[in-house]
Amino acid sequence: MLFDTPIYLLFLALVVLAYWCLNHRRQNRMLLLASFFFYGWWDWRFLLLMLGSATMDFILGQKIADSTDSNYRRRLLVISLVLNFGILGIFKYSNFFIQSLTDGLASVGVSTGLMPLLKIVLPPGISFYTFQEVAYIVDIYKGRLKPARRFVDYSLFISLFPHLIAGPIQRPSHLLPQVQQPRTFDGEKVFGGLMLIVCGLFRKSVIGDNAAHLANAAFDGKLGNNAGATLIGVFAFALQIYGDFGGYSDIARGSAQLLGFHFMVNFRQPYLASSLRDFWRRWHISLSSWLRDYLYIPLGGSRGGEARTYGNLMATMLLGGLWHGANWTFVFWGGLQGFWLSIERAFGRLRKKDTDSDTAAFHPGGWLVTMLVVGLGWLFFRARNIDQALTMLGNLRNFGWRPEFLPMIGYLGVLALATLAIDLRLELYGEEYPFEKTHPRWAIASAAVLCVVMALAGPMDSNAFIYFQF
Amino acid sequence: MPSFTSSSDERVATRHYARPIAAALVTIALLLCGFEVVTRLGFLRISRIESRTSKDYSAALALRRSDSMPSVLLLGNSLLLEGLDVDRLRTALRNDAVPARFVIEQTSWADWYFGIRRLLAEGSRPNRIVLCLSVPQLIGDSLRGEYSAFYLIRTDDLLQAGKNSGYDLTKISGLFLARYSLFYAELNNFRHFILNRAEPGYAESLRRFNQARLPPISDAQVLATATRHFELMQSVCAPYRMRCDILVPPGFSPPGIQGLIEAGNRTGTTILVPAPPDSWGIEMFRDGYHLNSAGAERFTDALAAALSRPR
Repeated sequence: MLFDTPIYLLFLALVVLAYWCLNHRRQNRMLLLASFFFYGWWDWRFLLLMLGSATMDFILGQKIADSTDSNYRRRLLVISLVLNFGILGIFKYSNFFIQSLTDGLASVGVSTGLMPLLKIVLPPGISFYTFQEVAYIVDIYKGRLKPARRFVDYSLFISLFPHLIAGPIQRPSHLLPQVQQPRTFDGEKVFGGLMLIVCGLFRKSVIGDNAAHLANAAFDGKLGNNAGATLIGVFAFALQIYGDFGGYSDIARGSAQLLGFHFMVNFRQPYLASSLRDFWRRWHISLSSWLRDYLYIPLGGSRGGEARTYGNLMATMLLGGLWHGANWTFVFWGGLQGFWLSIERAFGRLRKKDTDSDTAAFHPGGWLVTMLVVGLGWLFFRARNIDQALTMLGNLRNFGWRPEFLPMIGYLGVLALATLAIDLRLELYGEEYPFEKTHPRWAIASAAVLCVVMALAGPMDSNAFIYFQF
Repeated sequence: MPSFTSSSDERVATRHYARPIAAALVTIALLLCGFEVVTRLGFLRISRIESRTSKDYSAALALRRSDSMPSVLLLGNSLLLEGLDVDRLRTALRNDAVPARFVIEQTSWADWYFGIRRLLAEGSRPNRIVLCLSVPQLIGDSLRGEYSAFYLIRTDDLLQAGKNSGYDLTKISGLFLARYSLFYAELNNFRHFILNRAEPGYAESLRRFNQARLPPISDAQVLATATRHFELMQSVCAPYRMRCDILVPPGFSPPGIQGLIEAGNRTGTTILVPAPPDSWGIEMFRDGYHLNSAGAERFTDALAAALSRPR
């Protein structure tokens, strides 16, 4: 059930209507059933995997919390991590590792006929709910969180449908108390949720899906082998992925707000970032902060000297890249992020300006360099394989111009302006959706305009959300 | 960022936002109703394609069986639209039959299998149905999607149609909505229409990107699939004492034509080939695929002769 389809909106409306007629206990049970229905809509068999994984962590979490034996607690933590990452590894990475091993052995002349690829279907959302489960177990182990005592509460924390398939990855300390405590109808939240959903649908369908046509054409080789095709492809994909995932996150957060929950902000105008570090404070915040708190800091963070810090940065970003998918392109993309973050750190540009604020001041030069690095990263992120990315990069030397590029650039320019207009408004006014801080009538008027534009200028064919495949 | 507030604050906020929430929901509802009304009243008038489809559909439903002047319903896609001069066919057949044409572009066999079911269920009773599709289109199982759901597929058939075409539950649910909402069914056409007027160059580029290259097909493949398709089609027509014929449009070395003819023989389906493959030069075609006006005249005459012959 994709968020941008009528069936989801109908499902959401029915759930919201029924939900606010129930008391807290029944709300949770009903939401759990609704979430299972939502997830089972893809394939009910995946429900069993998610339930099994959630049951395991529910039990382990309680045992860790109840034990005072540190060795026993550590063993339980290790068991949980091995099982969680083991399940993720089998479903997501087994073919990648088999293929990589096969290729590696073949390159030194070793026959590999005995290692066939497995026919494994990736369960939707497995990367996201696994990270939530790991955060839950680690937080209990560290004493930062009390375990859920009711299975309904815990499984609802894991499977609450607005975040189930593609996040935002919710922290247990943020979401679990919201699940456990009664929620009251808050008109402001509900209104904001409606506006977020409209804004998210606009971003997804008008910006993301329309840019996808050109990104797909460029990366499928339909624009030729020249610099124009590469630049249009990267520009289009940059708009597509932001529109697509930013839109998805808005709809997810909006849906949660209709149910009285608050999800963490996942995007904060990332293309206005003046450094890569700033970019990562604005892009997929729920993942970047998870990687920081559960990988980078446990690895030692910046506490072990400069060389160790660079190593930790690289390791974090490489694994962050691999999290996105079983392909060397993602590993390279992560490596590029880690490398450039290290460069920025080494030159000390950010260290002097480092503040506690979430975002740094805007600098045109820094912005340009950052966007070039981000764009280069998107090239690898979107390419089918490293060879294709390098070929498209090499095509930058070939300045072949085709007349049809002009309307394409114009079209992308319009989409970029729409993105910029929304982001500037949000950035300058500190809003979560356009016109949030003005009278509601302006928010309603802007939502109406967005609906009309969606009807007139939506995509010819809708694309599935990019992050659903992760 | 919304924050947790005390219960008294919440009551105030809820009261304060009750009207904006209602206004937002009413605005969205009004917009959706407005889109539907504008589509039904406005778009059908300004779009030649939609106007034609709507008229064709009504004409197809109005056809009745007659022994004195048999009616022939010609179904198909753009190959039939551009390849047939209906007025010329009517004139040529004036003493033999009453032809009517119902064309929906970008359709293939699955659309028309369910389309014939619906037309017959809704009262259309031609003496003869002739389905004009290319060989690859005759063995394809894909649907045109929401548009077909509105014009061609009965509600009872939507689930089956979606499953046959490999749709997931979400896409099938979209078919149900499109069955009753012309706005939703027309959404893609609507956007094409606007893009074509606003940015014709870009619209043309998009059209080229979306042209898929068909995989090669063999006679054996065509025979197997076409036999199954023709049997299904005849089983739909049989209760109405009707047969459905297949009309093969002119083309260059269409793959699988022998397999198609063999499938016709096995299932008792008449395969009309008024213009044998490769018999016409490129000057008869607009784009190597669709006929131009000269080609359409010639094809119409050939079709009229084929339809006049007793089966």
